[in-house]
Amino acid sequence: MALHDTQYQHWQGRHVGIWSRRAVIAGQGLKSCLQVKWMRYIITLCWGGALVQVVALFFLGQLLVADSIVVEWLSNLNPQLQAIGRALTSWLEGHPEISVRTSFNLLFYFFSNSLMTFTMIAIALSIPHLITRDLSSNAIIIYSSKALSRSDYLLGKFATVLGLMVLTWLGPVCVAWFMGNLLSPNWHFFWHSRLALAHGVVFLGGSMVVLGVLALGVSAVSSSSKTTTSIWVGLWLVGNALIPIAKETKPWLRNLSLSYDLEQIGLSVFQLKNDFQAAEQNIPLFGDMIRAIRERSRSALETPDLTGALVGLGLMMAICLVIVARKVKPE
Amino acid sequence: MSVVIEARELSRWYGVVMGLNNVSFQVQPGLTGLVGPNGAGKSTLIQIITGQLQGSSGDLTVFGQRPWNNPALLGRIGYCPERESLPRDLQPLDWLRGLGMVSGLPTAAVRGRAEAMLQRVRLGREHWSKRMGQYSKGMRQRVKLAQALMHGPDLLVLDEPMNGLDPMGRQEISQILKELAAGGTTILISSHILAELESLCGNIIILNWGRILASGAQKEIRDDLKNWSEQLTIRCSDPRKLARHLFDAGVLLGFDLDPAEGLVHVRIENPEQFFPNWTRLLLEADIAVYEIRSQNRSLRRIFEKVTS
Repeated sequence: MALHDTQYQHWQGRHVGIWSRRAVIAGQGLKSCLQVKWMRYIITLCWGGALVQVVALFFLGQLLVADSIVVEWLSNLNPQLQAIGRALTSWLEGHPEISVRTSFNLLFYFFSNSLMTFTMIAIALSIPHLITRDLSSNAIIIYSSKALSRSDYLLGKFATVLGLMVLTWLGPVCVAWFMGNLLSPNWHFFWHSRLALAHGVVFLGGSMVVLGVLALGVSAVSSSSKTTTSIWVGLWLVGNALIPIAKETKPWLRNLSLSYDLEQIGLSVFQLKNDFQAAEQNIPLFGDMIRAIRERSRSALETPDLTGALVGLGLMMAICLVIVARKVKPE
Repeated sequence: MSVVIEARELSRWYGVVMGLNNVSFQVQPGLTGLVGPNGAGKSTLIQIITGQLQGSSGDLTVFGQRPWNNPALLGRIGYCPERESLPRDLQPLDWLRGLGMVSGLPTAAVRGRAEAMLQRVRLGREHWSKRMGQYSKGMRQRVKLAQALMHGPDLLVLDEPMNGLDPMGRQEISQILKELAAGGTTILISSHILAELESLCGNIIILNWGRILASGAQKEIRDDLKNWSEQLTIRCSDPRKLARHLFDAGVLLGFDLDPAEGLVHVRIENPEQFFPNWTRLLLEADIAVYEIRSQNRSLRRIFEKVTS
């Protein structure tokens, strides 16, 4: 064997920028998450939900087409439903800017909330792939010896969770908006539904940041995948269990529930109060149904507990940031 | 010769425990061994060099820059940690590609380079498609070395890289390191296998209790040691007679007999006076000498002497 093997060479080529390196960490994390079979099922379900919303928006748009299958189908329903359909149609024809915005806003709110459950499950599945496994395999030592800082590593991992939530949450909502409008009979639907989309993006964007930070914190708690996944599920389910307890005891306890706090923020962002009022005034029967909702539930819908939610989420995020700072460090 | 690593009065405390105590040294290009018992401060020093730790006082520079929070400098350093640090569920090529891209190598380059590095550390191609959780300790050591080489570092810091390797594996890794050093890579290697370091490293740094006891070329350290007692092992026809003769001549500090093997181990007080008269002393003893071995060249002896 020759003493001097000339195969090895120092890298003389160019180096890519720091954002590309962060993207590599994010991409690898996402790839690792997508290797989990159940994760792929959850994402498929979320996109199935998007399809349902597209169908609902298509149905809404077809009410304006006189000889459409939807109108024909509606004429075969019982008189009460026919009345709702006719009222909705005339509302869409008479005040499209209000009716489209209101319908889309309500749909987007309920759709976003429904997908939150799937997103929480997806995050539970992704928790071990964020920081936990790097801690258990000590690969974090290798990462920290490379040409990137701790914040670069964390930004990459944060982008992994965000990427995942784009697949389960923001992506389906935005695509449903686009496809629903594309299938509508009138291009004005795009314009009239812009506020609903903005509400959705603001709510989902904010929630994604909150959930991303919480997921990183939980993922850094331990080097055991079972422990960190259990903590995430516990945080979610115990929080949900606190809501009825809080009603009977201390109301502030409900702000320790992640789902409750996010729901309050959603209600604040989507401003459903205006939509319910518009629906009450313009759609017979449906308005009666809304009025029949108990006063207490209505007040919860109309005046969400935004301050409490922000304090609760802020507290949780602060704890998680402390955990990340203490656990994810080279020393 | 340019200095690669330079420490000036560097200290590091862990609470009240001192990991490094006011150490100053320089590392030149080539292969340098870092020697010391457990708790000597080797890992602390390596962590400071690789930017994992910050010194409490003093200064340490690598290529003239401080490594702490300096990603650009870390891009010139390859680190092979002692601890197990491979993701068990990944294949080595995937992991190396990812680390290559994290280090800033373009996507188009990493695939070929990852394969080249695995070949470089002589990990058999038949193992490339296995997950690293299935690897033996020796195979994992090779992948760890490959990741340290992936981005073409100018300085390679290896913490116990021979752990878990069989003798053939050690020889192969030693050969690779020699080739890298010959190619211009500076290598700092920590190992408790002194025999490996002895043959590999021209320069050594001896650490104990957080202090540097000696640093520089092995020969220089040995020459600088005062009261250095030469130790010889002599196989002869009558070990007892030879020992008595040398002792009577007043040149020995002490001796141990092994009559069954025909050996006498002698410790010589003043080698400079002893060796010019060595032939005469043997002739006067009038015995047949079959073999003479010097122990003083071993790194272990230097280490024992320095740490004693």
